[in-house]
Amino acid sequence: AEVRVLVAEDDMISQRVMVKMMSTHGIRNVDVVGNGAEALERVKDAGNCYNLLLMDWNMPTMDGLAATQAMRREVPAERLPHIVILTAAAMSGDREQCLAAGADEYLTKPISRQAMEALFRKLGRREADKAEAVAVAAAADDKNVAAAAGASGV
Amino acid sequence: MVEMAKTLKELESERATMEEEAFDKKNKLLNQSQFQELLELQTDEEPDFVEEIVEMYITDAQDLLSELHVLFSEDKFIEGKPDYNLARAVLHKLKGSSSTFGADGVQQKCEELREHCINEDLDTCRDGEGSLAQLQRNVDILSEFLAKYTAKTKEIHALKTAEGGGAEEEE
Repeated sequence: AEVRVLVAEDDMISQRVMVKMMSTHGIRNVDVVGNGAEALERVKDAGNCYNLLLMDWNMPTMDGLAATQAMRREVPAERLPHIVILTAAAMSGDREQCLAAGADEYLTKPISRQAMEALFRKLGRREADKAEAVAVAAAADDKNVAAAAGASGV
Repeated sequence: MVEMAKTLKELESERATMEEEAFDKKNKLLNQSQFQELLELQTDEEPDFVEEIVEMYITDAQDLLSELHVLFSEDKFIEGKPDYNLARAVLHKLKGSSSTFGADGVQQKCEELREHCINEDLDTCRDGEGSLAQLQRNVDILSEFLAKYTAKTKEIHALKTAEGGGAEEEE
């Protein structure tokens, strides 16, 4: 399945560069929003299922951390993307604050090519693990249905 | 007297000299690895990508600096002082977009001015070490470099295309 990415960033230049970075890695299905509130709405929308959310920390209306906390509360875990908080500020304690808010990862801006490649490798493993978990659950369901059918003599 | 058109080698040498000066750590204009990563994002599909980013930056940076000049002018003071929180937010934006190019010098000046805002030191905010005046100069130097660099790159690309077309005609 094609990777879907959501970029939440209020700076137009950073938006443009991130979309371009995705495309050089073969990822074309990228949506862009300008603040955390819009990101929250997109992720909550059951019609969307993003694999990755790259979200700036400092944004107007709702910042990246507040959006992350809201997503953890309001979106079913299986539909949550891999949440990466981005910041140019890089202060001591930032990483811990991001992870405590529920982000999966924290990266400083600008994202280097190396960091992006490491992120995609991690995303690949995450999606593979998810697919495996879904397959195991489906197999268990099939077994239970078969067992139930056998017990009822069908 | 007719000026001879420059050769590809001459243009590339001029560009290499520009890069050398920009990447010289003493000048603190550009971080080489970050700038080159940006250049590497340019593809044949989007041959004007870097030029587009440069144009966006030059416009945005001047808009943000204008906002800061306004914030530090007395007619915009609130309770006798500038809105330092808003100034810090503007500086954060300028630092963020400057980081796209690896503009170490501009980022450093943004940080220094941000500190003066935290300390509410208006005099130094306006003039002196780490002031808005210094930040403006740094952004102006960077903008001039980026505009000249992209123009030089376009010249090189146009000449390569023309020479490549010339080679096809000879065949």
